[in-house]
Amino acid sequence: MAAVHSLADAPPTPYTVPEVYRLHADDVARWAARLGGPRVDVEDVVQDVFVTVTELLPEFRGEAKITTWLFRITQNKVRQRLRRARLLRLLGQHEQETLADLPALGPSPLCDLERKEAHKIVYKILDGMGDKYRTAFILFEIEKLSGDEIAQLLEQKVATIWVWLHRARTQFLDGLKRHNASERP
Amino acid sequence: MKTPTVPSTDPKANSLTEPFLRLADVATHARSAGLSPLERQAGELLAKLPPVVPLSPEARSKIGAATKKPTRFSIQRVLGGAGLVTATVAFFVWSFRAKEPSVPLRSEPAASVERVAVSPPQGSMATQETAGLAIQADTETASQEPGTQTAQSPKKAAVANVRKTLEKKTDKPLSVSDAPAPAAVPADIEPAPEEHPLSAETRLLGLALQALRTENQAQTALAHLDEYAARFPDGTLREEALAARVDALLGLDRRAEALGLLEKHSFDRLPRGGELRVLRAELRAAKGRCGDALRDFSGVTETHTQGDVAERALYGQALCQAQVGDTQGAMSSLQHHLARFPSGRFAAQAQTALQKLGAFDKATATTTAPANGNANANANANANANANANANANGR
Repeated sequence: MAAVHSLADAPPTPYTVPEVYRLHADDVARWAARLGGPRVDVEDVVQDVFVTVTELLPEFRGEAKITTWLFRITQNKVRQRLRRARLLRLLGQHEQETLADLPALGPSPLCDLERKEAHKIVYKILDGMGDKYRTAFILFEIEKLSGDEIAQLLEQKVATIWVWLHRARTQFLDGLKRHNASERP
Repeated sequence: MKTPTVPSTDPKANSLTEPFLRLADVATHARSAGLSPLERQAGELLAKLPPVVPLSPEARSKIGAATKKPTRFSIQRVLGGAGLVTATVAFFVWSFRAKEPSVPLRSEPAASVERVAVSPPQGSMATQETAGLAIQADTETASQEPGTQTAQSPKKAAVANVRKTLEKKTDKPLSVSDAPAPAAVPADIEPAPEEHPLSAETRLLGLALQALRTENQAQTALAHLDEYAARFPDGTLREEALAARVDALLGLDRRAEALGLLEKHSFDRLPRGGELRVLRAELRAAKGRCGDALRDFSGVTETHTQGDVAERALYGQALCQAQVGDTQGAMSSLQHHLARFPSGRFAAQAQTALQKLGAFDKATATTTAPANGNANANANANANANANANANANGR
């Protein structure tokens, strides 16, 4: 699996920051993009994560997997960013402007527009979900990790993950229903 | 990654393997028949999500270099935190000050606004309205007479000056027609340090319109409009600015956002109100929301009988009627369209659509129409509606 391909290659502790960065920068970037959606700047998050890694790595004793540890840091950084973005929105910054800043994503302008629109709708619904359900849903439905991989990353039992996913799907569909209702005049 | 194989949505079933299929996988798969419409929509949305753009080599090396610097308890972090607090406080102070009641001004749009640049008042109509009109002129007068300005804020000083002038001059009533003809807003004029809010509004909107209409620079226009929106969220020319933003967004092919604006705000007060309503209808039709579009088109056909707006509305109405299955209504609208605009821009398309709908109507009346006949006619009408919306949006 591409998402955690570097798990097996991870060197045993003690880790060094350059090694962790070389092996996991792409994983962190992908998690940041998926967890944050259109409202976070991925490069900023990656930089934030690795600044924290630089500070905390000497204390990392290898009790958890390095990917689990990195994922938790990334999750926290993204959560902070989203909170800040929510505050900015409350202070009057428009979501549309952020959406407009997305880079061109598709082969045609129409495709771009559709993808941006889908991106915006999906993350708007995700923002209304509980944090653990949101994360599990993103990792399974969008990042396409298997149940085992999600369980490893979140340090949960696989059965727990499936229950979370079941509830996450219900929440997502409820959110979509609400979105559809709000779109109708 | 394991590929899910068990198409169950029951979490208890096979709970330790893969009880779910991913919505995005199923929605695009033959087995999507078992999904509810909502699940299918969710799957389609998830399938449309863009792939993650990997970190560029430049970004990798930049971040790598940045993370090498030790930062724990560094002075930069402390200063950064203090800076954030200062910026937040400054923002609140600024937004509070921006909301202070401004000098009462006429709320008429562009035409009256351009009259702001009048010569100093000559008469005695000491009303709030004339005070508003004379502010700019008197501010200029005051600035030409050094020593007459006190340490008051420019806005307050301008009001005080206007009041003084109007109290002194009681010979002749002030006539707005005495004012020189309004001049176009020059793009290269730098804002004066004591620029009046209304002048600044006019200048920014003028810059945006110039970028949009004469330079064909929608992105630049949008930047000016962003500045306008940030500085004057409740400005006198707010609706004009929003209409210009719609034009700029269409220029950049950001139709969903343009439609969002058109749906969020009312533009009925503007001279372009009808045109913007037709535009909203066309964008809605292009998104397949023919019911909503039809309401807009019908509203415009009732209020506009001549001109480009009326023609677009009537033709759009016909196509949307066909799309929702009202063949008779569509034919009637097309006939009206051809009668009223025999050489209009949609005359040829209207003629063709009328023939197709007539043939279809005849076929359904005399024989049992094939099940997909209506669908074909509607599909054609839909294609025309989309093409129409695209042409209008692109041609703007």
